[in-house]
Amino acid sequence: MMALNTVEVAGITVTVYALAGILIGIFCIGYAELALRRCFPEGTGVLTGLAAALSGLFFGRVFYCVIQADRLFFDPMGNFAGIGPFFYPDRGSVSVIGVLIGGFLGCLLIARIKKLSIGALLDKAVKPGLLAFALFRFIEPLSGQGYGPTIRSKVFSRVPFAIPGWDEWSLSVCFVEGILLFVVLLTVFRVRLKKDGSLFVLAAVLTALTQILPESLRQDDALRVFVFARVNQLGYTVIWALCGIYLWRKGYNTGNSRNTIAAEASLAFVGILLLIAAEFALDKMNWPKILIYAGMALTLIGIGIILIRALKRADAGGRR
Amino acid sequence: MVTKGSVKGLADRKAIVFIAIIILFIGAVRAYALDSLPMDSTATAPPPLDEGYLSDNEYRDDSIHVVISEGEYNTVHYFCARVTINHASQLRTVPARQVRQADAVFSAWDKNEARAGAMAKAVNAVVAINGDYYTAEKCHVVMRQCTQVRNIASGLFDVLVIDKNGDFDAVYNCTREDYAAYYEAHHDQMYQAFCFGPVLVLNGECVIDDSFRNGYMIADKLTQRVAICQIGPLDYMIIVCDGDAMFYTFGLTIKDFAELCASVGKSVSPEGFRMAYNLDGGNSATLVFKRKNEQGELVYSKLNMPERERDLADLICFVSLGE
Repeated sequence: MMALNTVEVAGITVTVYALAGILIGIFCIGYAELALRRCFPEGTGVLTGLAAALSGLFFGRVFYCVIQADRLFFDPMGNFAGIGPFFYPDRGSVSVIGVLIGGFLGCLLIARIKKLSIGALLDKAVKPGLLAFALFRFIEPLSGQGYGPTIRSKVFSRVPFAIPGWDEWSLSVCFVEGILLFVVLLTVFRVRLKKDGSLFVLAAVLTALTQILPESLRQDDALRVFVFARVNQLGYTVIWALCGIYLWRKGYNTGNSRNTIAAEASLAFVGILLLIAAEFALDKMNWPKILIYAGMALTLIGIGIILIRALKRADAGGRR
Repeated sequence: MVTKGSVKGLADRKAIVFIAIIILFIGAVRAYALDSLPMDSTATAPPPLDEGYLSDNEYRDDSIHVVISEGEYNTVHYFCARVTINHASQLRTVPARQVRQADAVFSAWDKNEARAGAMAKAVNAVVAINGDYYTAEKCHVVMRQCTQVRNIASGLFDVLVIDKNGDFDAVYNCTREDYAAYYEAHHDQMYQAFCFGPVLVLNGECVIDDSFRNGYMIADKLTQRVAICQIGPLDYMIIVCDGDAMFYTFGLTIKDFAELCASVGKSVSPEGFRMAYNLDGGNSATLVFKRKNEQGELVYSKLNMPERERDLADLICFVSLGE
């Protein structure tokens, strides 16, 4: 596993990961300013980027600390150690789901303060946001995380497909996730939607759905609950489910067929059950893993088709 | 006056002294190499000797002897691995992170997983079993390689403590205060602490009755089980039974497994096991030993059912002190 290298910057020792993260942040905030300048007053992009970054870091840390409270705020003998560890960067990490929610809330705050259309702001902010997310996934090995099962193929036992351990190579799950995020970013660039907010919802749905399967492959310090359920998988499921509820409600209010909405929602719910069953099967059953992952992928594609149909109807704004 | 004879005699005496020094030096090096391993770190042990594998079921060198046997109890197949070692430091625990990072430490943030075979290879284990899945929420007490990691005990589990002499002790239905008091009194001698249980056998007798229930270990269902047992000083037995962790159609309940352990204990020693302690079973149950593959190479193999390995958070292993 790559060691956490450090560098000296202005007399302060920082990890290479933190330095790279800061550079990515600066770059993406600059990109946000360029992206938002066409539709919003000058400086809105920088403000939105800063708000999203700071809010994302804060909520990411809060989520992580809530889930890991019994390990973070208690010493090895189980005595309460105060809330100081919240501020120690070497104690644990941040939750990606918390970062995404915090980023969203940061954009919401700027829209409210500046009295801007939240949908329009989110549509413009989603591209730099996705870019930042993808780039952070690519540099994740610098933090000592991002790896999955052992890679046996000599062809793929190399950077960036794999991460070197001291004896064998592990799949670079974060690289896979970063590539999928780039695919979502390219899709967002190509798609044209009419209503404000639709592009953001599309990005949220595609991001959530594409990240669920690779998260299942992680063998690093990714948070888990109930032994085998990854916190990020649960979080992404909540994200796309909330998007679905938003789209179906919007569709219902604009006269979409109740039967269509009920059928789609039911199928999406069945999809959730299938995903849970797949994770359970990975842990308990002796079926070939490749088959289980193929089933997961098909389920996620099916859910994606359902939600994109709902999005198109909501964006068109008519009866179907 | 120096004569030819006296010069030769002096040379002979010098040669004898020189050879004696060499022999003493080699002896000292051998004694140092066979002494012990660091108990307060996850330092890797010397690799087991290929010639030490006397068969698919036996390993012997100067510091460790492992014999694996099989049997059936209530039609359920089980493995026993008897392990005798020279020093308690040869009983070690390994976090999954060791597969990717040499000298990894057990930590409160750790969620790493890896295959048992990969972990065993990383630390040169002679024989290994799964631990108590120390990263899980239900693992309330963790001490590994003399490092205290966690104490959120809630009275639900018996805690096994192994001291620096390799002797077993237990804190029953351990609460946070119980463990804190035990730690206060014994921390200088504590080496490992596991939180799963229950204690199955004590001083040769089965201590589990029909009324025992614990949902965390699915006590009354038929499934795979794993136990680590102490026969005597530096003399241990690992018992792993097969089962079905999905539909619970075959395997052993905790009570049946305790009776099996008691019966095995009585078969190896008149006093039976000093203590037998239940570890994480189900699909986590893993017994790893080197066996020859189809190409004749010695590779780490999972011996018990099912063949597919679940990714584990930690491993308990016995290692050699080298030659």
